[in-house]
Amino acid sequence: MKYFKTAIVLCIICGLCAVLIAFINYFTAPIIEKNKIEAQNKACSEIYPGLTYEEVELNGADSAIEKKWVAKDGDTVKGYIYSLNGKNSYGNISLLVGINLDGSAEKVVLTENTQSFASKVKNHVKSTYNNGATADVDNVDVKCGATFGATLVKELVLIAVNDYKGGAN
Amino acid sequence: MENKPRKLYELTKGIIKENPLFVLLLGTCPSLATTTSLEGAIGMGFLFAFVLIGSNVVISLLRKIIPSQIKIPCYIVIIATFVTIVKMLSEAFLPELYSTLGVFISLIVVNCIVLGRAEAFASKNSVGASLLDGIGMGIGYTLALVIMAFVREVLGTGGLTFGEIFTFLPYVSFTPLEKFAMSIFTMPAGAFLVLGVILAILAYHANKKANLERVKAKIEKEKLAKLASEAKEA
Repeated sequence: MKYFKTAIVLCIICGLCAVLIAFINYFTAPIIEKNKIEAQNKACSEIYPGLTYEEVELNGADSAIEKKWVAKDGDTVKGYIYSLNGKNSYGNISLLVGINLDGSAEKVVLTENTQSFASKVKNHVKSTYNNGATADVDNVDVKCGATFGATLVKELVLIAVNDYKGGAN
Repeated sequence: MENKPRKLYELTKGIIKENPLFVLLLGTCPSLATTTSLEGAIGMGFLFAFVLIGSNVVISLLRKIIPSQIKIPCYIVIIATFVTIVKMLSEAFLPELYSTLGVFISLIVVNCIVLGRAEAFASKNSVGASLLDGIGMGIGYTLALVIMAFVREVLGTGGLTFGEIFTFLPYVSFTPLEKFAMSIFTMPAGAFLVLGVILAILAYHANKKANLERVKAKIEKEKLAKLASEAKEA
């Protein structure tokens, strides 16, 4: 009887807590989703400013690709934006890659970076992919030193480029 | 008559006399990690205070129902519920604060202060007293974070910036000492330095009176010994 009462009390407390969390989640979930979309649009506009972004369906794409948008200026396609996520033993990296119609990378924006050398990876992305020296991403070298985070960034960029080229072919 | 000063004591003890960070030395891990900016520290302080007040009140309400064998699991469930609520609310309404504090919001669940107050105070006292204790401790911890963050941001960046995390405020950056900024203060080592110096200053003030009395007693003793030896010689 004593154990029964103990179990009942714990179950009731857990149940009440679950109901409370569900109630708060009911109100906050749509706002959180809206914030995420706004943040994504903001990041997309960093790559192709002033355009509209339409989500494209992923068919048999690499598992690192989470989402894909087409950036349009009216009806004219200007490029594609890929949302990718990769991880290694040093942490996670989420980034957006803009791919121009000629297959070059327009810009890379880090959206999440939990690598232990996070600032180095950030600087590497800035110096390697965002200064116009990225016309041929296939042959781009890691310039900030052999950090694993930078290698992961390079792999993710190449996945996006290859997906675009595969789709274009 | 006696109740009023006691209530006031419950409210104010956490601010200075039993400050959770500077006196009890609890919750130091998040205090070192989240005090790189003043806005982040204020945000962390408010979220922490919300969890502490909420869990204190609920635990005090349920203190006679919860069997002693499952006290700790029940406290953890209640505290985790409040932390989850705080996490969802901050992600929805203060997304910049949520992304700045990151994992340290979730880590409030295992903060020694929250669990400590639940076990040491809320489980033994009335709802009103627990509420006052939560408010006092919450203010005390927030105040301690604000002091640390102010020192670290001013020394580390050469000034203060507002509107970066609390985006509803206009963006204001006042950095007149930028040239003299010492970036070590924005790093974990700087946090240890600042906390150490603040603790030393507080210890000096706390022991000042006792030290003065000790010195006075020693002088008095020496005087008496001198007088005694003079009398003996005469």
